[in-house]
Amino acid sequence: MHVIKTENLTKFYGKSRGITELSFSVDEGDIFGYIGPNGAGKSTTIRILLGLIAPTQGKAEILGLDCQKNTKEILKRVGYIPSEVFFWDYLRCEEVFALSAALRKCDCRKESQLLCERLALDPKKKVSELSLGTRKKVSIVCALQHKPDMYILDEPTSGLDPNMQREFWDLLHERNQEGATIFLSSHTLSEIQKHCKTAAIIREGTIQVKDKVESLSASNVKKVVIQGLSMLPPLQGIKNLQYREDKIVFLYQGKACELIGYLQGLPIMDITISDPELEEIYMHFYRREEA
Amino acid sequence: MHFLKHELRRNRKTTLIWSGAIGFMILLSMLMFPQMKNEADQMTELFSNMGIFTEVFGMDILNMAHALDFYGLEAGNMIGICGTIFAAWISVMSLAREEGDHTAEFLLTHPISRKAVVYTKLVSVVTAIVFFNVFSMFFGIFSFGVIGESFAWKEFLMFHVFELWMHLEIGCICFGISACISKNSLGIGIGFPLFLYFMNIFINISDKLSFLKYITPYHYAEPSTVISGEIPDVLPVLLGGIYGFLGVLTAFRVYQRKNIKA
Repeated sequence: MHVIKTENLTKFYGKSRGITELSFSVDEGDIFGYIGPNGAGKSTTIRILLGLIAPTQGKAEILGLDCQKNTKEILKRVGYIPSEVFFWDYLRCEEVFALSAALRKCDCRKESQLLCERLALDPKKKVSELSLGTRKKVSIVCALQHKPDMYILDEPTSGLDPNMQREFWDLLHERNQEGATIFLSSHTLSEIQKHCKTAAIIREGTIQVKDKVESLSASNVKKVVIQGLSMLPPLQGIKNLQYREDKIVFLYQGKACELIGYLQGLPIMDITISDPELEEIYMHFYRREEA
Repeated sequence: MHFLKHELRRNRKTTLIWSGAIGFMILLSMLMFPQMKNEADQMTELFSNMGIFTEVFGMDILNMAHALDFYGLEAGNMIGICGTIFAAWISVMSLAREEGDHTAEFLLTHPISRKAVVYTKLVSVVTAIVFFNVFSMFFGIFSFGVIGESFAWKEFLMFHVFELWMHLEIGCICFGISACISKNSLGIGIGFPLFLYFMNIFINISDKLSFLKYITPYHYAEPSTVISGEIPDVLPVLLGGIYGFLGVLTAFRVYQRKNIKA
């Protein structure tokens, strides 16, 4: 069953593009990574899903309900963590939890207490006194305390220290094992690779690739930087080849032994083989789509 | 209900400060009345010789030797001008400040309809305006007690009813504006009531501009008319109610379809 489904979802802000004809789906029980550079359309997609903005055209559904017509029913079953967290400054953390629970018409005191303990959060503190990371923790408690069926997370770990990130991911995996579906928008490729089952890359408002994370990782793309060569003989699997002053930079997709065999005997002064950056992975898939 | 409590709590401090300040100013100005009363002849002569200002501020109708007339002039200015600024300010920031303070995203990703948000905020704003007016009225009554003067209840109550009606009209219009903007606007909160206030001054200066009485609520709420026992024109009062209703209607219609900024 598709928990999220979009069909030709398009959003324009006046003349500027938000997303164009975006069609994708997220299966029940999935942890879905949504990757893309700034301005790619990630937040626009999320804001349409949550009913904060209306699409210019197309349709979005969550849990089989229309995101524009059944927003209230959808939001009862969704927990959302925004990338930037803002609350009413004069409230204490426990008052934010109580207000959030009251808006959902449920008593979540026990669960919020448990979450506060796990996230080392003092519920008596005033929101105005909180750091960025602690405000994120408050947002996590609000999103998790009512045990929703679906989580929509926009850069959820930004501001959290590594220990808290680990605790947060433990919590999410527990919820996922209980049957919840997770939609995660992030810049951090390692986070997606480590925790997500499926991922999609979005650029300039359209999805470039969507696949199981295992399949994307199996693509085995490496970034290779070579110094000492002026030209590179042809080899299958080389993409995005660039000649930069004294070095050659390219992405390689294929078996490592074939690459090493190919490089043997060449007058190489220095070589670096590393995992590519998100943008380079993105470029790799982008070029593949173009081809 | 929980959200309404939150909204009322949010407006509490502002409402108490404005109400307390205006109430205190009413008391202070009424404390001056005994001295003014003793010099009433001189004051009446002075006020009647102020040329155009005499008519503009209704001083040709109000008698400064009468406590209620004096109250109408002094409290009328304070409740009339400051009260409308308070009503406009608290209303114009009601819906807009959620986007301005970036809390709209938190609020609207909870299962609460936009209609319920608008309704709750409207109740909160109306409560604040009514509280302000009731508080000012009680301070007025208290002030008369302090200086030991009696007053005509009917005219006194009429004065406060028209002030309340004016505040609600301006508040409701600004509430509609609040749904159309995305950040706090102190400029509208101060500028809009002053614009309407000066419009009424122009009516008092020139008969050719009398049609403006169908726009500005300051005309039907003018203390010199209400306290002297005259019944203001019904049409501007009704139109005021219609303008306020349209403001509320705009708030509901616009906010339900609004794209919420991040």
